[in-house]
Amino acid sequence: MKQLAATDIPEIDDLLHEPARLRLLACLAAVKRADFTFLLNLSGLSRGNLSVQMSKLSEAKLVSIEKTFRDNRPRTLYQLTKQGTDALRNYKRNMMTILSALPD
Amino acid sequence: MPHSSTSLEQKIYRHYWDDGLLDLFAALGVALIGASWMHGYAAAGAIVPAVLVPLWQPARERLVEPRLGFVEFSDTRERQNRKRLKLVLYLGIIALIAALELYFQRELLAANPGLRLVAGLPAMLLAVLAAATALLIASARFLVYSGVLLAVGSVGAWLGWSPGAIMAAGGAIMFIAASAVFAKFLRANPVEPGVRE
Repeated sequence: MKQLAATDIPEIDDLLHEPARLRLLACLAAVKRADFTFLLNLSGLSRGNLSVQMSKLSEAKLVSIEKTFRDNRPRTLYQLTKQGTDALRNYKRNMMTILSALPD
Repeated sequence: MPHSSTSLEQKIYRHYWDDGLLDLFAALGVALIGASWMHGYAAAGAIVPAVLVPLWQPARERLVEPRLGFVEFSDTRERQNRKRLKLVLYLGIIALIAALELYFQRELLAANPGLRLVAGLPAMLLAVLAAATALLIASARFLVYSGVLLAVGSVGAWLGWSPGAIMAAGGAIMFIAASAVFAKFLRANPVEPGVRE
């Protein structure tokens, strides 16, 4: 009988597995792009927390940032990158594998 | 995975229209057309939408976006919206033509009591338009407005009101409801100036 190796259990990406970041990524996966204020309203996070989480996602190149001005007000637009989409796909697949092994 | 029409995307899309500004514009349009008709300006049926429609986007950018933020929906959603918007426009044109025909036949209708229920037809056509808008923006509120216009159209015609008075009354009721929705949105979402993102 083949022994189960550690690699047979899917790895979960810590960056995506954090609840606030996962919610933000899910929001961005549902739309084309959104600005800081929209994500702030939608996520219910504080400004500071949202800023920190988006910076982490941007550093990991999962999200792209575009800074613009509108009516003399700064506007930061966020969009899920191809890398972010792939990471979410991978995360979903791994989570499904793990969740399907759990008892009903 | 992204840009697909998921239930989360649908929720976000509904949330996008929660501010009530479109409601306010629609109500203002119906009330203004009705009031103009009452004073004999039938052309208002074409002029009022032509003035209000281009004003909506700048008003949204100035009043709603600083509070709610900006979002761009998926290409799939945009394509679907364009199709539905065409339907709403066609319905609007049909409603306008039918209403203008009624306006020009108003003396004949007034002389024939058996036809007085026809006076409610413009409001009922606008009710169909409101129902189509409800479909377009996934908003239950516009279904309520559709019901209001249907009810005011039926009751007003039964009471012998003119088409203009019926639309003005329906628009006024919509305007009160829309103002409440928009005021609630403004109160719940104050603009915070000069914040760091």
